[in-house]
Amino acid sequence: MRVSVRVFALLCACVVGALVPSRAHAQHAGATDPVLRARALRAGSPLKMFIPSGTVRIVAWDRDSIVVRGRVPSSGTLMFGGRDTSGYKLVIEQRDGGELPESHLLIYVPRRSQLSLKTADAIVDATDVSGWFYTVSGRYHIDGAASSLDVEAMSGDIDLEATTPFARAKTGKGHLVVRGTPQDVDASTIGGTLDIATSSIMHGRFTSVTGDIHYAAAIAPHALFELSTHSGTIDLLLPHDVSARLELSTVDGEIDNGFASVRPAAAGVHNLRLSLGAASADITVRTFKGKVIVRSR
Amino acid sequence: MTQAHLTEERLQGAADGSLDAEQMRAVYGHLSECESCAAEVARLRTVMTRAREANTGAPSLDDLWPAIRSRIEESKVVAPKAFAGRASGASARRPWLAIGSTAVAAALLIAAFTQMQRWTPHASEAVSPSRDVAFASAVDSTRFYEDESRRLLNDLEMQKAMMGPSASASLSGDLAIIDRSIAEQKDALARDPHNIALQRLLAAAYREKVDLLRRANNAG
Ligand SMILES: [Zn+2]
Repeated sequence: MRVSVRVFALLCACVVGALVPSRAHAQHAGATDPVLRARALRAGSPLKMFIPSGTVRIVAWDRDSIVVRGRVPSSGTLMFGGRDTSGYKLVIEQRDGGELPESHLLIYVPRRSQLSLKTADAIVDATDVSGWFYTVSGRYHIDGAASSLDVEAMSGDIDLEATTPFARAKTGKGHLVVRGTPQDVDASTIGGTLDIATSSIMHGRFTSVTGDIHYAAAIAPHALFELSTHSGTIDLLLPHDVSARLELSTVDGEIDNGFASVRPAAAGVHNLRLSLGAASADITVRTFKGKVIVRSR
Repeated sequence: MTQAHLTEERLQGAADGSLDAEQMRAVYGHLSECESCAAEVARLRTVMTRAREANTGAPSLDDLWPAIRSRIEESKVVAPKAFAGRASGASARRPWLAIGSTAVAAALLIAAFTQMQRWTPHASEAVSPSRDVAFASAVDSTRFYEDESRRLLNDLEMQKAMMGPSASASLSGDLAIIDRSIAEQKDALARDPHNIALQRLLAAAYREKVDLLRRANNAG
């Protein structure tokens, strides 16, 4: 029984592997790399992974199986175990005294799998997966559809390009990009730049300490945003016909209002209130000593 | 499955991660084939996780939520519909959060939305009729994150020792950035104690500090 499932999964891997183009460059694992593990995995099973270094490509597919292709160097060992009820675990274990194993993996998981992936400095590209993603100094690019995404980096870069009702992303000095079509977003950096380039967000909180925040997109009707920094610049590039109520305040910085033709609802040295269009969205901008720039496209 | 089941000692070792790499390989090999041993290890892990969680003494955000919620409703600062369902439904909607230490992540999600709701732009700094309540809420929030960051700082040195030197340096650098911003904001707040924008910035800075320390916790 178990054997036939494995053979089936292997066959699936071959078929799907041939159909799914690998966007990765040469060193990434591809569909021609050897199958390292192939197992039945019920859709929706929790899957915990620890892959310290290298490149990882994760793709969700419509099969009840997990297939891992790629290469693991001799400094590492791939371990996989678990069961449906308690979840599964895939770990690249470092051999004693060895280098951080730099593996190159292509992993197919059942759609709706709830992943929990942790890396040290791996470069991860994932499509149609949900869950918790963590790295110390690696990089994440996540696209496709997700039920929720929670991505954390100590200092790595995060590029969210997914369609999801909920996304949370945090990094230190990494570059954080929010695009795709997320609805509720909580994104923050410490020193890194935060770029938001999507008009799908309904509830957004964007925070940085010293990093700059750039918002360059239309604003959804009735959206609710809050942007804040300590010293980073907050730059809003909006369509000229935007419909939003803007409340801008700075303790010790300056406000550069590009909508000069619109008479402010309230204006002081350190605060400005603007009603643009029908003012259906609500945007609050707050900074200690950063610059606030509001301009139209 | 011709080999014998794992010994009690091996099961324990697999659950708490105390086996060396060679033993771990053998044990994982068996666990990937034997459902009964895998189930036993999973059970032991659950027991250990619960024991660890019971020891942290961290205030549960689930417990804090009703009070925060009633404060919001009292203040009529925002209509609670927008985020309330999500905040209370966060863990239910995300089965993956139930495994291992990710319960912390669930609490964080709830905290995030709690704060988001509290800080919605409707609580206008200039015109809100319930400015005092909004201000008190910002002070509360600052206090909560300040306490939490102090608690998390206790483990910092151990965490740094477990990280690589470059990750540890990066963490120190980020903490210094946040601490400088907190110091500047506290100074400004001492001169202008009723500045609600400032109070909210301070709460946000402490929240960033808590988030950073929690991320550092996961690095080891
Ligand atoms: Zn067994």
